[in-house]
Amino acid sequence: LSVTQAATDEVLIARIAQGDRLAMQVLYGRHHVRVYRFGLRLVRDEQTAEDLISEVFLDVWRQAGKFEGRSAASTWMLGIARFKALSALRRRPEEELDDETAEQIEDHADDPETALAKKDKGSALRQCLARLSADHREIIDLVYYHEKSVEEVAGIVGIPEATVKTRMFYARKKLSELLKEQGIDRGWP
Amino acid sequence: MNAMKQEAPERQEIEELLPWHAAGTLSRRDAQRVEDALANDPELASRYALVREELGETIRLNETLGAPSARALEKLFAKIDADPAKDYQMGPLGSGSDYSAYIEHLGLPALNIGYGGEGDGGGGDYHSRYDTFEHHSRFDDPGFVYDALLAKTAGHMVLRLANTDVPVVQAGDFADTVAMYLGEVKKLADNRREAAEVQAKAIADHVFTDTEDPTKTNGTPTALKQVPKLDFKPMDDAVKQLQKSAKAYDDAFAANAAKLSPDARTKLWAAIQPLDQTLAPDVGLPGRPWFKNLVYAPGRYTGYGAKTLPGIREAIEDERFDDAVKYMTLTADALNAYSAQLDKATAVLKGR
Repeated sequence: LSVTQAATDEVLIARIAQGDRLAMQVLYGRHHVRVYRFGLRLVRDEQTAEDLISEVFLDVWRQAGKFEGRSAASTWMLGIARFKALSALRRRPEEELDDETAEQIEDHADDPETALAKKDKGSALRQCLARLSADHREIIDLVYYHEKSVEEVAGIVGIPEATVKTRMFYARKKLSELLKEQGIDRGWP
Repeated sequence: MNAMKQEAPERQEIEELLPWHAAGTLSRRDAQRVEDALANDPELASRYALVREELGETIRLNETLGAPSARALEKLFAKIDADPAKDYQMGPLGSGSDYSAYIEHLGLPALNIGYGGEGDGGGGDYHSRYDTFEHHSRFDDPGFVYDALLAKTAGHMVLRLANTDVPVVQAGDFADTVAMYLGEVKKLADNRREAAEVQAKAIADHVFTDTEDPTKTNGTPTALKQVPKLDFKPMDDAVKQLQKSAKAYDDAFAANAAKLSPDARTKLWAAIQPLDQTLAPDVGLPGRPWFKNLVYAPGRYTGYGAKTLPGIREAIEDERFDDAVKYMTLTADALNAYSAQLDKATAVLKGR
């Protein structure tokens, strides 16, 4: 029976609180890719995202004793990652500018990228997902990729559950609008 | 906004849940509601197809993002090794024949150390027929690596404590830990009170009788005892004082411990040695007076597991609210005695 097979995240965190480095490695192995991707989608810079995960897991190491297990460990870590990502963005104001400009980019109907996107709806959708605002990217990722419930998203983002639902709705609506600009009409909204 | 306004409220609500339904993160009840709506509403079903498309592409997009380099892990452990906040947290001691008499009866500091992590040390053979030399040497610790390491660790600790010129006490950590325990106990009282109130209202509103399954004989549950508003002020004050005294001690120690005269060192030891015994006044816990420590005890019903601030915590759990009030004062008195003893040590450190 090894730690990797037997221990739940909660058990690992309890061991980390006791200074168990092996448990730290196992927890890192389990979650670092997802935490990295969540951070990368927010900060849009691989080096910053990589720095971010060592900061997130250092916090896990330090705060493990205070983890109460009221939420899933992944939810707790994504919450920390979000906080660190926003702090990193605040330190780099140009990133935020990138964010806004990305949102406002007008599409040119004839550029080669668009022409290609029209051929492949999937890739067009992915392009539009990348062009959403940070708030919208974040909620879409949390719901679809990180499989977080309404309640968990509310906890990570720090907004009421009702707002989570409406924000997701508007993120999806915005996605449809961006697709329409690319000439793909989904028939909704 | 228009898209939402045009829909009937219920459909709108269901539509908002579609992303979570696609991701499989809805409660069973909500998932069923969505399923029913999808079966009866082709328009909604076509929108659900869009949601599933988004879900698939979001996953594909994220999967293309790759993973951090191996350097990230190295960097993390370099940071962990260099972390100034690195400290080994200790859990509270509960029941153990090795140390119960010291910490819980006499109020003498005790420490229980061990190595684990690879299959939880003993792997479940403790006190079983597998608790043998053969099993231990073949499976638990082949080559006796951990056994030797543990002996060395304990040896180092004993030497460190025996040879130190000045006491090894981190008063601030203890004070913060007691503050945390107090927070837990308050929350326990609040949760119990709320549970009793909710249940009382449900009984008064005939919720249990109205929803009763006539084929079963459950009946209405026994009413929970109402939890009175407990006055935590004695403990709040005591913990506040403890944190203040602890900080003063830690600061004075950091500033002056290294330069104390031999005479002052003797006085400091005299002040620190009876420190922990202040937590175990000659009163004892209700129904088991042998257990005197008012901060740590094994739980009455938790086997080896510890209960912290046991006089108060277990009184709330067992609905003995008179005891809770009584032990609130007793525990606060013990903490105040601890703070006063620390203050004596601080005075020595400051050359008074």
